[in-house]
Amino acid sequence: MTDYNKYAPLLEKVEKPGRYIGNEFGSEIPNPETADLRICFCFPDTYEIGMSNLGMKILQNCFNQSGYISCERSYMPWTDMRSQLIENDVPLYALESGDPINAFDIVAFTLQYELCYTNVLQMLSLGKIPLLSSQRGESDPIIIAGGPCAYNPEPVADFIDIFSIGEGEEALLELTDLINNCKKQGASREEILYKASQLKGFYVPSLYTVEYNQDGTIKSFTPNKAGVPATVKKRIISDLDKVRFPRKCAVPFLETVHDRVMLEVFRGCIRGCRFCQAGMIYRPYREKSPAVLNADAYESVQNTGYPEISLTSLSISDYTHLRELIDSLLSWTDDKKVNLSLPSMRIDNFYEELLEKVSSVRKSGLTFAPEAGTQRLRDVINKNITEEEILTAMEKAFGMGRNSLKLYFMNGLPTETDADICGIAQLGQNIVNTYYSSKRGGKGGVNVTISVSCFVPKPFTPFQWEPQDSLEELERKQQLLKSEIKTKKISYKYHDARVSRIEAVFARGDRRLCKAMLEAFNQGLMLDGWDEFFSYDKWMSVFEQSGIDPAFYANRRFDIDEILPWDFIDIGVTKKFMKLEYQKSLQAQTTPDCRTKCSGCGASALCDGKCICDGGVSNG
Amino acid sequence: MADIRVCFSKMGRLQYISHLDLQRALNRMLLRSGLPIGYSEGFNPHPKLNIALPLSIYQEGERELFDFRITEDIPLDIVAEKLKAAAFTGMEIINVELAQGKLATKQAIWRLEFITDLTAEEFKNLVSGEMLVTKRSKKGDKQVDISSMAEFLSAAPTEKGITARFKCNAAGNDYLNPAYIAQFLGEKVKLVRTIRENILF
Repeated sequence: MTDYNKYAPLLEKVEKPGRYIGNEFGSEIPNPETADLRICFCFPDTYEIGMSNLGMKILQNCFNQSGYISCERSYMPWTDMRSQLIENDVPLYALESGDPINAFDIVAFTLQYELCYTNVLQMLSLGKIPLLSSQRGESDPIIIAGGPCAYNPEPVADFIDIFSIGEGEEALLELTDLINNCKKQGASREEILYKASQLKGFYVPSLYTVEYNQDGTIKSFTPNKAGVPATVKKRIISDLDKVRFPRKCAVPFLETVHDRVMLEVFRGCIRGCRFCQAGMIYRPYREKSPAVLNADAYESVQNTGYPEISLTSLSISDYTHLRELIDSLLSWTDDKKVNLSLPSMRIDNFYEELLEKVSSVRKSGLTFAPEAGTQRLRDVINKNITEEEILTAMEKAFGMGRNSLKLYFMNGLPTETDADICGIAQLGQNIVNTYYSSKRGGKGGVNVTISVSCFVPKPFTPFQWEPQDSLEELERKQQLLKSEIKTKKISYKYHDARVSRIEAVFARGDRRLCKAMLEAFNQGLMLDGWDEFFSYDKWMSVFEQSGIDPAFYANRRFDIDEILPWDFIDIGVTKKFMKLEYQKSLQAQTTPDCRTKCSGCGASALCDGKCICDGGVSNG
Repeated sequence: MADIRVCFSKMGRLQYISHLDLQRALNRMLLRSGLPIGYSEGFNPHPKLNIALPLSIYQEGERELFDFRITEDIPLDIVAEKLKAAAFTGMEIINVELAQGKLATKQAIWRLEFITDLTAEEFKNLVSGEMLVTKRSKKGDKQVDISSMAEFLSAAPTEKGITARFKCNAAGNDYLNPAYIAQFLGEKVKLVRTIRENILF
């Protein structure tokens, strides 16, 4: 344990010292000095963002309940603290003990978005850990990583020793058991990595060799050691009720992005939108039972004192037992003055009834995600929602006195034409018109926000082969939409297309991009998710210096038969299904949701066929 | 129903927590305690919580105060027990009593730890006369003599300097942040620890 007084001279020179002190209520961990294995769980972005991540809370809790592990946290310091660490020659430390992160047996990163990769390198460097896996010695920590971006681990393959693919609650404890035993036997780093590659759900990049064709595409991707599996299968938890949910979490002093009890209701999604990576990689769809959820929520509120519970899952209205769950929550939340927030809730009769019945349901902002402006394009992306449904829901919302709503769209979707862009403005206008012709409850005018992001083709989606529009084209479309919006009742926001382009490069990148990552590190790039630090020009210079053509990754139509950098990972959903969905999309053919009809995506193989489509979950 | 006054400490790493963050943390502590908390009326009810005086970031407090309301009569020792169980590290519940009157604070006793080459005698001489500092406000910088707001109590030598105690004004509209004492002393000292020992009425 390090005396925190050591950090006082640094902390008094930074803007938000509360980010770097831990000590939150509920953050107690098993004694680091007596634990067999010490893990520092790193979130490669600021404290406020990292503390909002449920996955990290779940896994830290799993480790600390194991009986032999002591798991702490560290976050990417803001630039002021980073400078202090460097000037005072103090290594990045873990919040609980204050010990430097290089003193740990394992340093784990969660990769939530591509733009955090530079922060991973920064944190390693600040922690005085060699950046490259190949440079690390016996005394260095083993660097592991997981999270959604680990489904294409290649752009950071040179920096991570072991990737965890899929859900970690069970798999990671198998890995820590292995590492713990190996350490006791004095096994070398090389032996540990080799043995880890034999575990299900783990990928050790150094044990694979990639060869390339003349045109730059992948020629072969093969294990370079006997016994290393050619494909890595993602791990899932088959019974969510049996997995430990952290009912006692650290309650931050600082205001974080999601500062409330987060209740994970189910994993996976039955919808199958063709651009959506989460909808594919988290399959199969699995629900928790309402009784377990209610107990999770009750104890979480008791233990944390949070006055709000948020039901977090991809599309909460799809939950079979939603009514039962909400009734049991409401039986005690009103009394305790605890608010319920239901993001991603469909506006239907049930929602209407809910808002009328209970005051404790927070009227969080109304949001809709039609994603595309015309029915044709919504069919292409398999967003099974019609304009009529949207307008009917709007009428209901207006009738309840709501007069402000937000709509999410995407620019640059496959097959998109200018007519689709104009359709976004038209849909917005139709909603405004609906407001003025409806029997509305509220006073004053209506305010419709149209927020448009840029399509980024993602691995393990039916659109994984599609190119991203060129930067110029994306920006042209953004301006076209701007000129099409004729009313002041609509406010229009759009994402920086340059950011989306960098995301696209890394989303479909291969391991040659590691060179660019290293160059980005040398040029001092970090905190790319923050407007004040993101620099497209610097990234272009990074690619030029490292001999990388960003268009090869972002703007190229990948051949349907080429080896994709992430092909060696098996997410359950088959490539055959992706291809079929891709072909159907180009003909604007939709695919029904999993509850209506099983499409044979392949994910049910991960849970012995006990998927929603086979009666594993009743149709409710 | 009863209004409860809690005396607590805010020490160590809690010095890095701002007043607003402390307020939120206390709200959550009250909810965790399981006590029947009195809420404000209105659209967005929140616990009736009143902290006597704010502490700036980097300042500690040995005997801070806050009031809150419970809607049922509960023995004070039970209240104290429940609060202690819900308190966070660095915060100690020192005393729990029925609130007598409003939290109308007048003065506060401060202990300031300096690194300095000054002797206690020299230090005393420095702070015994006029103490001109620059106060910043929206209207611009202003020269103010704070000597009438900060009464010197004692100075004792330490390993690296001096620990001094002051009694400073601490009313709502007449509050002296002891950081001004350090500003007045300027280069001669380095203030390393600021602790509010007590709040006076």
